[in-house]
Amino acid sequence: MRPVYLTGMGKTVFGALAGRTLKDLAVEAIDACVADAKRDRAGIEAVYVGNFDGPSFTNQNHLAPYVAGAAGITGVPATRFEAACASGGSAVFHAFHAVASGIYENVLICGVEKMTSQTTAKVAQILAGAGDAELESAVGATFPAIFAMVARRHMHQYGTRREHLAAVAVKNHYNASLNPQAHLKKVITLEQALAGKVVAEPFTIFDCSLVSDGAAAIWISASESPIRVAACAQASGPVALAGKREITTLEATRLAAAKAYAQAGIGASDVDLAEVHDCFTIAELIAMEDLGFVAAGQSGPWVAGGATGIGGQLPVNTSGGLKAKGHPIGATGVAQICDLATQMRGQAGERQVARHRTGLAQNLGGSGATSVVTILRKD
Amino acid sequence: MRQATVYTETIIHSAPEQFAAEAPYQIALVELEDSARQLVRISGIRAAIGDRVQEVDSQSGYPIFEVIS
Repeated sequence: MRPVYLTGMGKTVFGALAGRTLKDLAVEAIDACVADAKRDRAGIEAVYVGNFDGPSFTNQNHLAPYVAGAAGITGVPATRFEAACASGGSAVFHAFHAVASGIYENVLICGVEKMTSQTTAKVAQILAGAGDAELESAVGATFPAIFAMVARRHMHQYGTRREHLAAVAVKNHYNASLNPQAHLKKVITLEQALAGKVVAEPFTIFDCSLVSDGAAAIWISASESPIRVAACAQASGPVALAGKREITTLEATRLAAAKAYAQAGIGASDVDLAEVHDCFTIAELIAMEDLGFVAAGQSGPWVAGGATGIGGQLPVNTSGGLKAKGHPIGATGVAQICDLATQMRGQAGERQVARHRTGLAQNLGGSGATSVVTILRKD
Repeated sequence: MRQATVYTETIIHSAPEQFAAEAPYQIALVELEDSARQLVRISGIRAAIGDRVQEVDSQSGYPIFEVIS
């Protein structure tokens, strides 16, 4: 495999963007990315689109040529990748390997989702489609419920507390308040997080990521740039929670992380900052353990103690994460790369971290059926 | 009827469209005698991790268990 570099990146703001369409969000992100790359889009040899469920959310299918064409990129292969909430990460993974293996010199990846034109109940129904329709959705399970059950088990096995979960929300809300492109810029207290409306016990709304609209795009290339995509690995696990022997650890994340660390030639202790998939507060805690930052069962006190704050030993989700930056599903895995690169370029403003040579992104699909780990490095 | 042990559980307050009228309701991942796991509904009194539960007749299209008292 040859080296792959991050040539450009662009994002829309995330939010409930009334009046904006999936198409125009994607075009805005692609245009911003191409402008950032300072290249001609005619050089793009393939387009990889990450999108979870445009057909259900917006009644639009055939999304890859739809958005590529709208952005003035025609003729080249344009393909949509769907891996639930890891759709964006999966698009990055496949694009990365096409460049690394010499198939293409320049590819564009765009992640996009337009979610807020549907009611909350309808969104819950569409999201439940990322689980096992027969074994989970038919019983009445929702996505928050699946992760709430993971949280309950983690609490039972390790003594993790509600306050530990809430600490993730408080941190990510604070971080998002410093991010001009975030969906929510509302600082919350631990008490507010604990007292929110109950969604699925023990989760309140503050344990759950947002329903957002937004798009993100990156240009990756075989030609040298300051930031190298040092690794990108994807792994799978059972779709249904019932299929996993352990539910307090996600095997797909452990497998993807092991592959990514080996590919990059680094270990967990070399990571300076991370953007991880906090679809629910428990998911950020478990990611800390599965990525090797802290031992199994130790994430709660570690995170609640401030280790992953902007000034902490390992800043995590300085963007505000899915929790408060927002979670336009297909865009998330691509946006995480943009957020890391913003830090690594020293352009993160008030949320800028001190050490930023190596950044790690983890993008999760479902309750761990897909996990993608990407590592960015400045050599 | 099948018996099982509750491995984990939650009570859903915000339900998907098709089950909205039933909320709040409890679901649990239970461990059956052969140690296979299944996601089920819990009816009656609330079940906690470790509780023994047994299946009750269900016409609902999904399995329903209740706590063995």
